[in-house]
Amino acid sequence: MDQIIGVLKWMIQPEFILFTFIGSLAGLFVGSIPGLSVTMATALLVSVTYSWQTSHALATIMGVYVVGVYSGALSAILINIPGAPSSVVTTLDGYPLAKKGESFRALKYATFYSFVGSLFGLLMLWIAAKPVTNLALKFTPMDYFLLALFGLATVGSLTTKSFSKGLISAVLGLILSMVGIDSVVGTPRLTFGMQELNSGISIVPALVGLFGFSEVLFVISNGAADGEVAKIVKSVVKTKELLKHFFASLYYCIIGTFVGALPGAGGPVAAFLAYSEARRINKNPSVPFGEGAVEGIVASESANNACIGGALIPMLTLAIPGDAVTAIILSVFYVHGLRPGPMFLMDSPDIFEIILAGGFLGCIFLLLLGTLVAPRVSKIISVPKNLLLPVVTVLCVIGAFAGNNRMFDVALMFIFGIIGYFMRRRGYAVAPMTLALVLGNMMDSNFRRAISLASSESNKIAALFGRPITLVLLLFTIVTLLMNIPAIKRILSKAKKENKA
Amino acid sequence: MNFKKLLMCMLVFSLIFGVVACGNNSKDQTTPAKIENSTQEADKEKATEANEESNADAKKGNVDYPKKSITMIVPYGAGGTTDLAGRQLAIQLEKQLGQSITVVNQPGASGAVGCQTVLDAPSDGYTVLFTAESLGTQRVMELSKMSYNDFRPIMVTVNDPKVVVVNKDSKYQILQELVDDIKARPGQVKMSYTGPGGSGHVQSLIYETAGLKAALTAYTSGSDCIVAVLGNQVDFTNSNYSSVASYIDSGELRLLAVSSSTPIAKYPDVPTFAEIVPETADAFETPFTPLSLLVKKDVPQEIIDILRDAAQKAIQEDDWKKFVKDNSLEELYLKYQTEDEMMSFYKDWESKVSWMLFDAGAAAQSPEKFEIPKP
Amino acid sequence: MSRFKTAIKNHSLQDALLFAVFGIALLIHALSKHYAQAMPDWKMSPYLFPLLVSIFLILLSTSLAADGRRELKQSAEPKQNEASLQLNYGKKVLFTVLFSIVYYILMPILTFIPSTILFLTVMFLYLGERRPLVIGLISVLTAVFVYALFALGLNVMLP
Repeated sequence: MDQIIGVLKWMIQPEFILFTFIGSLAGLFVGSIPGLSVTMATALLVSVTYSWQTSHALATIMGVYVVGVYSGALSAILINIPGAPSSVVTTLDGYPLAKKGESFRALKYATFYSFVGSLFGLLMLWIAAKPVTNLALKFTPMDYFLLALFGLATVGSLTTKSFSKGLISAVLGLILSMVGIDSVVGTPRLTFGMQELNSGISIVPALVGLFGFSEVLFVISNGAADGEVAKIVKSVVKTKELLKHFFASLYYCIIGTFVGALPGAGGPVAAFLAYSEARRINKNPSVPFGEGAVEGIVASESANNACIGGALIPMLTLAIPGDAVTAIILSVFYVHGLRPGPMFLMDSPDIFEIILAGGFLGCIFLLLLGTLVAPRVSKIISVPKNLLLPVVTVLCVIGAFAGNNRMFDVALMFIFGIIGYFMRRRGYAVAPMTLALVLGNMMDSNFRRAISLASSESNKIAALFGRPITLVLLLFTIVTLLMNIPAIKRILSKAKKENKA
Repeated sequence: MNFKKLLMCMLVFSLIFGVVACGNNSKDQTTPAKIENSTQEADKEKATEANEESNADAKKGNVDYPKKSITMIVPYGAGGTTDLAGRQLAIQLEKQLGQSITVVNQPGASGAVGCQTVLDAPSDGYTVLFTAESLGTQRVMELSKMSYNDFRPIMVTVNDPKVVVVNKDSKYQILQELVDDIKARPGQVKMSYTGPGGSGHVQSLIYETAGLKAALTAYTSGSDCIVAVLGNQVDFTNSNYSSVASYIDSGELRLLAVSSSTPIAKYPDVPTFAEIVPETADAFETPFTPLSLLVKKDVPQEIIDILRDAAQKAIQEDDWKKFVKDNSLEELYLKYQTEDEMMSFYKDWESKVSWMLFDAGAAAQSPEKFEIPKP
Repeated sequence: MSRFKTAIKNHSLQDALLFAVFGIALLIHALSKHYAQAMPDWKMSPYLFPLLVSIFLILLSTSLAADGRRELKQSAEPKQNEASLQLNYGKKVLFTVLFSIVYYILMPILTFIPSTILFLTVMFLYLGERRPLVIGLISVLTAVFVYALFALGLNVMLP
């Protein structure tokens, strides 16, 4: 009860509101520009806010975090370039819907369900930090590996018609993720002596290239650059219609919060898992998934925003960041002399209140800014392609360059763009490759860890798989893989037909 | 319509600009240590400018140091012991030098990335290095060609004692039980560590000299190693005391032993490792994670003198003393005061650890190749 | 012979071959690197995972080849219209890539603003925009705005 009053007290303080608002605006902006990530913005803010009061610094950063994760959806929907890896899933249905001229509807759904997701995640952080931490601690290296594998298998099956093509895209991504200095042993691998590759292939140039530049090439190759303009359909989204997915979205939020609390998994995995669940739940979506189903946007956006609250949980209770942004927020804590850990929530309830208050205010600003901005930016889709494409190319170059300040990343971006173009031409989706790039390192190190842990046990199979979480994940993964083997697929569909007959 | 869009962009842009500008203003007013994620190239650029300035100074023959803010590179991530101690020292040094010190975290390749940045910077004393021990083993581990010989010590500051911890539900109540179990089941009791060549690895090699062979599993960072114990994935770990202190206080972890020559002030009843396993007494005399403040080798003597003087005063500050006491750090500067003492300390450390790693088959290169004598 | 020709033209079979070769190359690379290490120990080796992934890739390429065979059976005729479409616009893609490469090379030489204005102008013209005012205004505004935002506002060291 005291805490509720404490949080509310912060939320009505004008100065506090102002700082959150500034953060939210910055978040809206950096999140929506491809290549400018929330991670970068927070990193920049750390150096700006070090001398501020802790409450102001945290308010600004929470604003950036909450709104930044949401605004990745803007560019994902409007120009098919996700602002960050966690918005990759939003492109699957958001962009097709926008291409139909219904960009406004897509944005409306994204805004509202991002709001729901963020709010839910923060509430979970408030009331369930302890149990979620305990559950997250039960995840062993093998579980992390299987979770990532399961994610990749679902993505492979969701994004392309041919399962083997989807998996090949993922496998190529895995190979690329292994380039660089190995995190476990510390020796370079697959770099072929190139110094620039030692730090690995950064995710931002790859993402921008695979989605952005390859999209430019693809549109040009389809002849759409010759002045064809998508017409905006005037559409009013009824509140009743909008709220129809509310209960389903709570389910995606739970997935989001929990996956967010697992260090290293984060937004993209949560969004993909929620998306696959959405496809399972909604047997009859408004339009087929992948062609602009709002159900897909709802799943992706509620899950990746719920990750915010989730990722903050291990950061506060274990001092282990759940994702790249919380890693930087953690350093803000250290700079301000705070030491998160098991006692933190009890020892510094005031800081916890500040984080919650900043987060909740961020949610409100998300809804506010989203509703204000959506109708205006939704018209970008109607800008003639021959003007839009060159500008997007420049943005791709900048985005690739900005992360590490090196031209090598721009070259990487172009290479990935060309690879992405050929993949699209031959019907390989680029989403699995992106996810694999994000997850590859975690899969690799956890796999080796699992083997290493099991090798000292007498019963190795039991040590690897003999826990309930592991067994469930293993079962899911195997079923997903098997269900998609063509021969089994045919037998299943045959059986279905016979059943009907 | 286009205009509206433009206008809006401008609005957002100007607001962000405002934030940045605000930040810059406040930067001038106060000068605590700050974090910056600038990149190597940016640093280099700054550094070249600085080089020109310092060259001009050298010609004039007067040392006016420091005239501008100093960059302290910490070659590990934020929040580790090295980072925290470095930041604390930076705050105290600022008071002495009258210039701000920017702490930059540059993790990667066991510290090699950050150390390299300092070497690449000009020798003007405006880029200093605050690092843990990994600099001493990089050559034999084939991580880089650098060693302590490429730098000159300003001060060997503190040693963060290593401690042995287990989960609160662990069957091991005291160290003796753990030791007995490792002896009974060699290679089966699981321990998490930060990878070959790291300080945890060195600890495990010392255990092995006493016939204690644990099953090692590598984790990415020190905090991951702790989480592995919290999640019961492994049976125990050895960790820096400062990073597990809050878990010991909260009762989530149980402190079994201190891997140092003296017990921790807060827990006088917890034995040192050598009390239970006397064979290791000799090895644990060495402080294994010495944190040092270093500069590039060819920084002018005058600047080194100024820095060393400031560092000597910095450690007399109450805040620093409190920091040392709170984290039970071993004060190495009391032991090694002159530069000769520091250098010979590094030499001893290097030869001891390099040969230990090499004999265990963990090192890629023989220490002989770098003329490191056998201890 | 003609069956062989149609098989060569099948995209899935082409890709399958490419990936199989790639997988085998990775397999050989991983094995050779692993044994070149100081202590070949599988459970901690950095080449364990590449090895697994390469095996997986080879398996997938056979599955892709199976897809290709099925396609061949179903339609003897390769789709012609797709090929012609690619011819028409393939040149445009090639030129866009070329312009981008020139842009990449020019950027460090000309610095950011001039090279961006140049690139945008060329691209606009190439994509069929003819209004000089629009071209000039958008290219200059974009370049200056982006530069101001990133280089001045966000401390990104643009060339």
